[in-house]
Amino acid sequence: MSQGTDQRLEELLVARAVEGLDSAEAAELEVLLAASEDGDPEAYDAAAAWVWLAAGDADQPMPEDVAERARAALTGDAAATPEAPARRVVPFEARRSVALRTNLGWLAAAAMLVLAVAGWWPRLQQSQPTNLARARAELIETAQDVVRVDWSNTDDPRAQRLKGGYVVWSDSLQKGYMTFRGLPDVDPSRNVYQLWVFDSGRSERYPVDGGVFEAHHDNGEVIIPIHNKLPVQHAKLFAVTLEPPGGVVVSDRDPILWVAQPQSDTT
Amino acid sequence: MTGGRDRDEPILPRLAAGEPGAAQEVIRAYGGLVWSLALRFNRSRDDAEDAVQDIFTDVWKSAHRYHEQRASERVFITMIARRRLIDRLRRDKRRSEVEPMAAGPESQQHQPGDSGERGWDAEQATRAMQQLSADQRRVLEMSVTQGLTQREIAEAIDVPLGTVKTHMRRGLIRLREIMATEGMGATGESAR
Repeated sequence: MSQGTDQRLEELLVARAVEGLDSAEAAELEVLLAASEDGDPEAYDAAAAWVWLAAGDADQPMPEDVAERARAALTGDAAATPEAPARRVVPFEARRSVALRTNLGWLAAAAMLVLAVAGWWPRLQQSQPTNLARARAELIETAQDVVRVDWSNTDDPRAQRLKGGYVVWSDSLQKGYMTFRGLPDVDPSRNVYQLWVFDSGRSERYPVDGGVFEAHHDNGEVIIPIHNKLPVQHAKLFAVTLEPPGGVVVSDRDPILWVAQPQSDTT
Repeated sequence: MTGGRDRDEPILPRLAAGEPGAAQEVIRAYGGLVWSLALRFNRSRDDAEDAVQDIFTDVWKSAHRYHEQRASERVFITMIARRRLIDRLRRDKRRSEVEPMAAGPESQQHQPGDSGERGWDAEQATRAMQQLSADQRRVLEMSVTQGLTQREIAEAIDVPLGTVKTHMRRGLIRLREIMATEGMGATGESAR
């Protein structure tokens, strides 16, 4: 790496440690880190944690109900816990679904949609020489349980503008990437995209928040890491909705734009 | 418990390995730390509760990255928690409104041994901070513990932004050096 790149890397690491990064900076850092030989990229974060600990007061005891919710989240039974309402997940009752409004229910409809459109989207060329592309390729190569599923669009007009894309995901590594080609721009002051992951280990009414993201203002391929907010035992469906800035914890699923369902879970 | 936790067998490797009961142990051992951080970064109890869920999920997902030679579990979990809390703050655009929230009555219920301790790491971190210059210590404390941006610090102490960045970077580098050379972030008796 050049000296300038090293300086930029250090600047971003320091900024992350003390005041956080925006999405563009985080993406830039991820690229720089992938090309660096820094053996401990979290050292600044740990140092900042020390600053906090040095100045901090004694721990306050965590209330039992909060502890119980945390335990439920970590052990995968959040949906079954009364104290764990849908703060992190979306009750999926399809109040005003678009293409997916059907008596067959969400999963069945999504499965039909996948089957209906499978094959007509052109296979993407993985020509983006970025480190995210490399990370995605490594996941595909190394994860034994990795799945790769093309996006299918709903009949929402905004969904039709996507030129293609797919999801790769590994349950065992809890890691995945979304790839989009021609992701339609959105005004970030009005909307963001949000991913939801349906987990066979949880109720279908409670998909896991997979993170929010924005369009990248170009017509090329973009790769977006999946940031699932809860552990996913077995991902059986991915869905992207359009939400207010910052995303939501409870979605009205209007609109659902794209879905991807692994073959083994197609019903 | 928190004060001596890091001198015991680390929990995070067992959490990463999916060992039954490890999640409960992590929550029992570090729940107070995480809850305290969440309260400091959030204005409402509901928000703090949500943050706790996010943090422990992040801890679960990051546990495989934990190296006890680099940092104690307490430092590692503080690091993960701060990152999540900062992300939440940035997302909510409420940074300027951050203030401590008084703990509710529910806080009286707690895990045995999980309260009132400042932690072994805190003592060592305090000693490490004392090795920084006054300027370095000041800007780091204003940033990390008061939540000011580098620009806000520059305005508050009336120095150029570049100077603040330099103090901050050098201060963190110095802390990195102390952690590495003196093993003060590491676990176990050998690190003491």
